[in-house]
Amino acid sequence: MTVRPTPEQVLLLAPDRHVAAAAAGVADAGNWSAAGCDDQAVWGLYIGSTAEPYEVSVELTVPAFRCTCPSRKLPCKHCLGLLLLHAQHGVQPARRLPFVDTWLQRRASSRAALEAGRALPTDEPEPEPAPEPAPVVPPDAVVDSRPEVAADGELQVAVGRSALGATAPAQPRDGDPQRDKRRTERAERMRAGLVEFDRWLADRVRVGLSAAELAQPDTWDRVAARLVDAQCGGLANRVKRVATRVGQHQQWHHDVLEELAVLHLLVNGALRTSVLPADLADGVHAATGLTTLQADVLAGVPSTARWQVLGESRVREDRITVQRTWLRAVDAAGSPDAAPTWALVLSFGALGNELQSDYVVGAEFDADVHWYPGAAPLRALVGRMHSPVERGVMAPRGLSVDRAIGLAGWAVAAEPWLERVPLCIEVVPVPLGDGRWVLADDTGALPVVAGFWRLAELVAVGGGRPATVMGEWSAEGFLPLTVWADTGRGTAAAVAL
Amino acid sequence: MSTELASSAAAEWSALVTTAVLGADRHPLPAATDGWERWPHSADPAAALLDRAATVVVARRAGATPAPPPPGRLPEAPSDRRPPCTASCAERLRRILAGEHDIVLGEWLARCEQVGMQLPWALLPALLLRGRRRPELDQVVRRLAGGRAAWLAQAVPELGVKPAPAGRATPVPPLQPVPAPPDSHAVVHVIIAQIETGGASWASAPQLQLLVAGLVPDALVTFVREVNRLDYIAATARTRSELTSLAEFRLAMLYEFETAEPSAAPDPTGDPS
Repeated sequence: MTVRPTPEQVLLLAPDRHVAAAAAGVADAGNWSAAGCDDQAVWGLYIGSTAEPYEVSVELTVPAFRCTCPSRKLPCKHCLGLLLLHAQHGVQPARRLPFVDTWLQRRASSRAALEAGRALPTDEPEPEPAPEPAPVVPPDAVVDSRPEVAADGELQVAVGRSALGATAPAQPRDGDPQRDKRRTERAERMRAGLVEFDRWLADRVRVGLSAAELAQPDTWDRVAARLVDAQCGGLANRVKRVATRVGQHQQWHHDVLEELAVLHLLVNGALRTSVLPADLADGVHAATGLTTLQADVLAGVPSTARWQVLGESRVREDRITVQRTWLRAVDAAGSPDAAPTWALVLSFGALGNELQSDYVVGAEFDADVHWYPGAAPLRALVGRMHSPVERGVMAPRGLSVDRAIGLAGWAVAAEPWLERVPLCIEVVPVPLGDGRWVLADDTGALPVVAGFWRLAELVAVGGGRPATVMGEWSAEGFLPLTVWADTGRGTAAAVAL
Repeated sequence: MSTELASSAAAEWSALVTTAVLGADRHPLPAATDGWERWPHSADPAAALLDRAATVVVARRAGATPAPPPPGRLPEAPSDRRPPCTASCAERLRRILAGEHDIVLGEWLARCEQVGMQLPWALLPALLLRGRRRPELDQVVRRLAGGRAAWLAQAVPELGVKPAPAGRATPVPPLQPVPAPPDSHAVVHVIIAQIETGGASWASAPQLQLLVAGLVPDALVTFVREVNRLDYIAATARTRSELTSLAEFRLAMLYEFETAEPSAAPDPTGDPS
């Protein structure tokens, strides 16, 4: 699913103030005909003062813009207005118009030409380093698939806390002194970057969050770039996400201070990993941007169980699409309140390439799952399969809201920088007015994230009766990903939202 | 988090936010609220502010409790005794709504009604939204949805669908499946001949699609068999593949409804679950 942009995010795309102001006027459904969208693009015909309507298309994943108006601004007010309309009211899903299709196909083929020769992230390490380092920041803790890293063994830190912990030198893979030297240099670079970043964080609250520079994307981009140079890609991505919170609503200072404080905590953990418990140190490393070799993960002791695919979400991070697939162990008849076992499988697509999913939501299979090390391990790799993938016919067990949030609290206590926790609960949606919704049972209520646009589907499936819902719980609220629809005779079918 | 702890966390937090907004340089950091002073923090005021903020954030996030359940609840949707839509039929409709062979939408709805299944409720919002511009579709969707269409429109006003269809000065006939031609088998031969002789160009494709969309099931099978026997003819290759795809899509849809039928036998007790 594609998460719709917020109006604020749309306006940030404006080349200047005038276009942003004009776009607000354009974003009126009355100006548009044949407006439609799918999960790749949004389009429409803008009826302006000219005889011919302008053909406007916006690719959502990149974003990229096309408009037949004579303006030289990119994006022009029509593109921006259409996207704003989509952000505010949601353009109806529709069948793609021919001009959109042609444009997207042309873009795809020119992209393919550009990409030829450049290795894309895959699940398997490439034997050859990429001809040029891809200018992408890897998402959190997830660089093991980057060819230039994977091909270069010494850039990886084997499972363990070695690069930063001054007392624990990295375990040499072999006795190559060159390699040791490079590893030490990298650890030094990271340490210097972390110290500098922590000073920057403190300076933000020293001069005050109301300082004008915080509202400039440049400020954040520069810091993120420095972190990338210091090989702290995980932190760089977090910094970019904090930047989007500035000015998002009236209370944004609270959100930003929270995030700065968590970053400060994480940096200080990363500077002291040698004194942290092993699991926690691994979690800190992963969140900072150090990677663990897939082979090391797969060498760990697996958990063999029957797994059910409970949900899937996709987000764009910088120029990579990250897909999160949530698996949960199917529990044999145990206590209805038992803590479920979750595993998170990540996959990546680069530059708008269609990401093929390995799993179907609702499917089940027997397999070995290996977790990445951490204090609240979620991220995992699926190792050996012990059964074919079968379609699941039962809804998973949903916990009460109270119990689920209690369990999520334990995970956050173990790794406070955890950004999202999976929940599977048995709830009914309840409107609070003003378009705000909560998912509730007798024990409590969770707010649905603002801008969740598949709410009508969730309500329609449940019919006002309790239904099993799986989603991601974060500081912004609950993002529903899957709901189970009754298919009669005690069976249920997963509906991806 | 206990109420007491939550309120002391709120007090500590608001002091920290005030200093953070104004800047630790200009606004001195107040002493920690009762209970929060025992956590260590740095000597530098700005770093100390972040240390203290981190403590509150972690305590609040890890100790988060859900809000109390709201007093109101949505009314339940009117009960529906028809069996739920099968997964394969629901998936077929999802593909149609996603733009594959829109021409068979009327037939899908007619078959669903004939079998006596519920609509796949997850697709009801999409159907109702589409119905805003297509009154002929809206009529059928609302009829098949039973009470759930009006219920949903009322429950989720954000959807922008009216609980009752707008009255119209000139009533439109409801959406029907594409009618079958008088002699389907003869029509199959005509279409095959058109493909063979090059008459099935892109210009005549829409008419041919209408014909294929209306073929009776037997003739549809004949059509797929015959068309697969033909040699490759460049001039009509595109139309041919479109027509084959449509025919196969329809056959799969008809098969899904046929296999769904047994479970739809009217249940004398009236309770589908």
